[in-house]
Amino acid sequence: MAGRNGMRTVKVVVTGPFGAGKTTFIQTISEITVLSTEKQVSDHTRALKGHTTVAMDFGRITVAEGLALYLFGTPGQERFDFMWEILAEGMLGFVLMVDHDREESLDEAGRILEFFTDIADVPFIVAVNKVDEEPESAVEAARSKLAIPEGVKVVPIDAREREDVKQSLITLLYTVLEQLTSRDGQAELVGEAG
Amino acid sequence: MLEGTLESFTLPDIFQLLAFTKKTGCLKLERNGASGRVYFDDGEVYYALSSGGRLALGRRLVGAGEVDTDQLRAALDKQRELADDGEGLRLGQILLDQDAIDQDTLETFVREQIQDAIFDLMRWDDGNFSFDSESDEATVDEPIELSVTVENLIMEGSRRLEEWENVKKKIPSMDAVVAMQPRPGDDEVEVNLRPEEWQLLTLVDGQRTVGDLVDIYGQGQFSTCKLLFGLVGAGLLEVRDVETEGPPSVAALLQQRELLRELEKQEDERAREGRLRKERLGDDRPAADTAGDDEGGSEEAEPPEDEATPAAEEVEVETEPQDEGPADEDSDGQPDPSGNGDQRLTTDPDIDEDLVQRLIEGVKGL
Repeated sequence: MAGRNGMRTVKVVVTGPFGAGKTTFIQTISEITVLSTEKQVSDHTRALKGHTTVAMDFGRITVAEGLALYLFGTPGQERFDFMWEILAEGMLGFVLMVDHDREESLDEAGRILEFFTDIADVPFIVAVNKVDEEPESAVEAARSKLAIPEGVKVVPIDAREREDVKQSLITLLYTVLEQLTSRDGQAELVGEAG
Repeated sequence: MLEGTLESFTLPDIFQLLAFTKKTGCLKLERNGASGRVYFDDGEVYYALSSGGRLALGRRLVGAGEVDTDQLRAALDKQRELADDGEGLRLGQILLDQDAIDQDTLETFVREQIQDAIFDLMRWDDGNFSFDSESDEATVDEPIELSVTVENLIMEGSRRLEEWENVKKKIPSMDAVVAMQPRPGDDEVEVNLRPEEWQLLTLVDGQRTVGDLVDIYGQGQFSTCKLLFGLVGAGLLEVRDVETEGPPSVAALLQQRELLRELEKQEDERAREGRLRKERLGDDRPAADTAGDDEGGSEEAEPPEDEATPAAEEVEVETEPQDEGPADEDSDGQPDPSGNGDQRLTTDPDIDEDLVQRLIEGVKGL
């Protein structure tokens, strides 16, 4: 997607259950102050008798001249499902964040994963947040509970650590690259066969 | 004076320039009778309005239920009184002075008003602009000390533009009529609504257009259309261009009921004629079962209705077998397990390996 100012932009969606660390993930890496509609909308709806509402985060990373990565954090609450599809449109891939501390949130994570894999055939990774010790077992537990296929990367992260967030984005981007390479390879094979 | 066209210099470009150079003054935009004004102070925006997305602050506060009728009446009386004395004070400020609203609320609504105006202006593909830093029109008497950074305005505007592309798919025009869906979608088991969604739903009467609802609801075009988009997506509302798509389902349902009424009338007529015919047949039938029975009357001798001999002119109803293939079959005859084909979103085909490599290198270098 090319922006109006000529900047090429690519969108990555960060999703997961409420409280999984999506906002922190985006805040940790974004070069701009994260625009969180949670604040804006809650301000707005305070006038509408003060109810918590949509939380959608938006961050940007300029990775090269004329090339920026936009990070969109989905609202965690179930009643904003309709926003997910809007956000998913045109995404390069997505990061599913899960909270290692709250096992019960894995059910919700499973529902979100099902939704996104139903509507989009794009690469994704799972980032297991808040892992203090034994990252391997945390990763395995999440993989098993969410029935993540072997080919999909599951990584432990601390969303507050910039290096962790960077690495998880790089992991996602390599997954995208692999898929593109594989797709191109198949296209060539089809071309040769034809 | 800085001036030019939006084809050669986009609004974000102009904003950046004015922000970098810390300008104070008014950016005027004009296009086909539409106009916009964005007021800068030291490179930051403190007020904006556009003829397209204009919704007065009073309307917004009333729409949000922030002030009641008595408070509004008192504020308007005060405004008139001040005007008679040659003073001018904005309604928002009067409401603030009268403690009808607090400073935070006022700022929130003014900020939203500014953002709505910028969003409207960012949708212009063409037009002329000029920046005036000297004349009387270069400033506006805005008592609320509010400034918004250009970067935040552009980013929020861009985010809205992106969302707007999707919203437009279900809310095609401001003239489309909004109506309740007579039946929720098949998947709807439980409906959860936020207060603002409920508030908007109560305004839907099957006659009002999207534009009417934006006006009455008072929260700006973007916010209102986004809520409508969600409610349409949830299967609760429908938005129709009446000219091309016909009336909303509720109206169509009423029309169908009228048609059925005609049909029911015809059936009543037919049933009445059938009864009369049976009575006639009963009178003419040879009295075989009652031969020799002097008292054998036709009414007593009438067999049960399902055994009655059909009248020669009885209407016959046939149902022709439908020659349809199995449901959900592809054109090649293969069944489609998903029922509607794989319409999943895929990676943008414009994204290639080089671009992803650049992204990887860029993220590594952060």
